[in-house]
Amino acid sequence: MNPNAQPPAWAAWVLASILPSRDRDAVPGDLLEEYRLDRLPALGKVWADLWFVGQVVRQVWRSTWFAIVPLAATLMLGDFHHALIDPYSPVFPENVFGTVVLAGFLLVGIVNGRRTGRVAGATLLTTGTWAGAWFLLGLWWAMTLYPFAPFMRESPYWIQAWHYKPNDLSFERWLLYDNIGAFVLGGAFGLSISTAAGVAGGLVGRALRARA
Amino acid sequence: MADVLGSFEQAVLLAIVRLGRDAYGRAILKDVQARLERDVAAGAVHATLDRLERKKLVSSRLGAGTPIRDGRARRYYSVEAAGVRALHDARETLEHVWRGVTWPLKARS
Repeated sequence: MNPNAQPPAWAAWVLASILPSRDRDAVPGDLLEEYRLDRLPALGKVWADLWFVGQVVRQVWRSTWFAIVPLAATLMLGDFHHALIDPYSPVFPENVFGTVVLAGFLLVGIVNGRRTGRVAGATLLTTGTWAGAWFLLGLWWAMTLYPFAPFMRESPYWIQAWHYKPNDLSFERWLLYDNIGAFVLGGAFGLSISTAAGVAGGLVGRALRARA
Repeated sequence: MADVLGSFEQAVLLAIVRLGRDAYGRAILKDVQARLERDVAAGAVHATLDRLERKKLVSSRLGAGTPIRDGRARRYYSVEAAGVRALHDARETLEHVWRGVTWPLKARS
């Protein structure tokens, strides 16, 4: 056992940022003690580091799942409607959906800014909310691509989209590339919006905490 | 009637009872893991302790840090009177539910 071994610094920083101030000493201390006394001798450095990162990810999930689950469910419902029911009009008007999501990000930022007293913590948890929901949507796309494809290729909308740029890709291959592009672009867009909302919400939450 | 406890909450409370003055986060985690015979996430224990403290079933105080924790303080927990009542109720409920049932159960063939 190396008594000076350290878990990944970034994970320790994330953990310290997302915890309420009363837990900022004791909880990382418990994890560090477990890491050094049990996990490192039993698992070795790489797996012990992964164990530590897993504990941090679970802490993030515990603080964000209540926002991730409805957001991911809404995104999946929207995708189901767009893919199979009516590709020409979204299930939720885009401006309504955008406003609700933005308000949700601000709320997550405010709640966590108040809880942690840190803008960094609020921002991390807001972007974590987006990353979690987008990851679930990515899984949804991966699981539904081939089951949905036979139905989608019957729709004039999707046939037109497929032939928008003439090439010799099969429908399924084109759909895969389309999903990857949407995942990267949509993910980056959502990440920037959630980061901005997290900073704004975190500032408000921290100010509310200071006043309380 | 006191708070109705879930089985994980009971495991955490009983760990605090068993550990007495040494009941801090990691010691509670190890005790719960040993009793449940499975790996338990540290965060699950911390979240449960936080919830039990908000329900006023346990109280906590900060103790000194140690070198293995890079000097970070330990938070020590103790069971409050309401926590003891809740444990009694949980046990009584379980015994009441099982009363009149012969153990081990036999499946009908």
